[in-house]
Amino acid sequence: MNLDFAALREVLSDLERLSESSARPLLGKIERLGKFQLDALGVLSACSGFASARQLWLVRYITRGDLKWEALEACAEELRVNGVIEERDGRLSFYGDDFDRIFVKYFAREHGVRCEVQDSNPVQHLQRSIIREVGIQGVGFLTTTSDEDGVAAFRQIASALASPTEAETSFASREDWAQTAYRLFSEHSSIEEIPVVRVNLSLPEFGRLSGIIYFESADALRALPNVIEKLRSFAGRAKEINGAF
Amino acid sequence: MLSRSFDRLRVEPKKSTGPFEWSEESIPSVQISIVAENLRRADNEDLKRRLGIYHSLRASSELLIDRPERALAQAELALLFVGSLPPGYLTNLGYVFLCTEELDRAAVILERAIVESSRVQDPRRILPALAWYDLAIVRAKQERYTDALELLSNCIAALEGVDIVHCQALLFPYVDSGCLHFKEIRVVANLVRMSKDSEATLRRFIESHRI
Repeated sequence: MNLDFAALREVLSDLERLSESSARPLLGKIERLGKFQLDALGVLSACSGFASARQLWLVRYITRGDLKWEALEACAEELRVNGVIEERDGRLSFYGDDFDRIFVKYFAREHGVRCEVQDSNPVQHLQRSIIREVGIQGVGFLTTTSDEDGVAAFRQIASALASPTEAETSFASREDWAQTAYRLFSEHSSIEEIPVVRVNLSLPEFGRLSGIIYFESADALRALPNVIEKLRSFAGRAKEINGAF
Repeated sequence: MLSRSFDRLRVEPKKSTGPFEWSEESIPSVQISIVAENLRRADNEDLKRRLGIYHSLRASSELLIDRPERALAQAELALLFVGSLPPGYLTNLGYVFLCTEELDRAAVILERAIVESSRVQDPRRILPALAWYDLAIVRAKQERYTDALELLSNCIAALEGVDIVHCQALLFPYVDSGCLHFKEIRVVANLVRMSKDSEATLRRFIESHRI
């Protein structure tokens, strides 16, 4: 079965017959949103309950550069007044339940817009947005949880995996890093030095993020110049907005 | 020399500074066989199972894109975790050894897959049937035709009452110019029909050669 907006509309009709429609006033509000508002709602709901409008805009602007802060801020206010999103302690949340989330996702898709309400933290969101905009299969992004340098963290894991006494504990202590290192050693077994890209991001209202971008296969590695090109544009926009803060 | 220096200056820098810093780096690789060997002795059974599954799937993928050397290398790594592999993955692994002509190793793994899959709750008995089929092909390739026929009849009996069992890839025997050959089907193959056809082909071959 394909789940699309038409199927969800049918589910909604069933709910209405069961006198549930008054319990779902949000759906009517969502259906009145235009393409730009749906796009803005997608930006503002990407870290529901975990990020400020400014942080969310920052991620969008750095990775895509196609949305002005003033426009998003005005739209956020409109959505807040209409009761589609709410703000608590400076963090924005989508005002609906799981059904509303699914409804808005497919309704926005019908309008050619991506609008997925998620509960990610801002760091995870930035990580995913960078990889999505890089848009190359087999390219991943590992981040460190502290000020630790990504390449240094990877070297440490690599050294632990090479040691008979530390290999297993490295999986227990930093599973995602150990798993990635293991896969990279397996996939790039013919090369002695595995290319990666070190990334350090430091912006007001966001804190510091360090990590590495890695390439899971030889095919993905061939796309390194494209990845660099993307990172260059992200870096350019980050510099531009840094001055504006 | 001078113009070459200028050219080098014109090359785009491999790093960027500012609030979004990035730089191209490299990290020293560690031989995967060393790491896998270190983890083979791990106490964490779940970790070993996941690593075994990873290598078994990688081996199958490499085989499907016609890279048998890489498939074999991945299959050998999977062997380090063979004790933790579920039966379906054991059968995959056996098939990789079968297709790379490592027949003795294929036989050992497939025999293990048959034993392990008999412990799994599977009323349709598809898991042992596939392992029986692949082992029959191993035995046919080793010219142990009677064993091959017995394994094929086990497979057919296990699939009694089942019409279709789809498999991604299967080897099947055929006779050409009086010799027995094997060909791989990579479209979705029906194990029920293939096992019956293969048994008939082998019987005809044996009878015509009075083996």
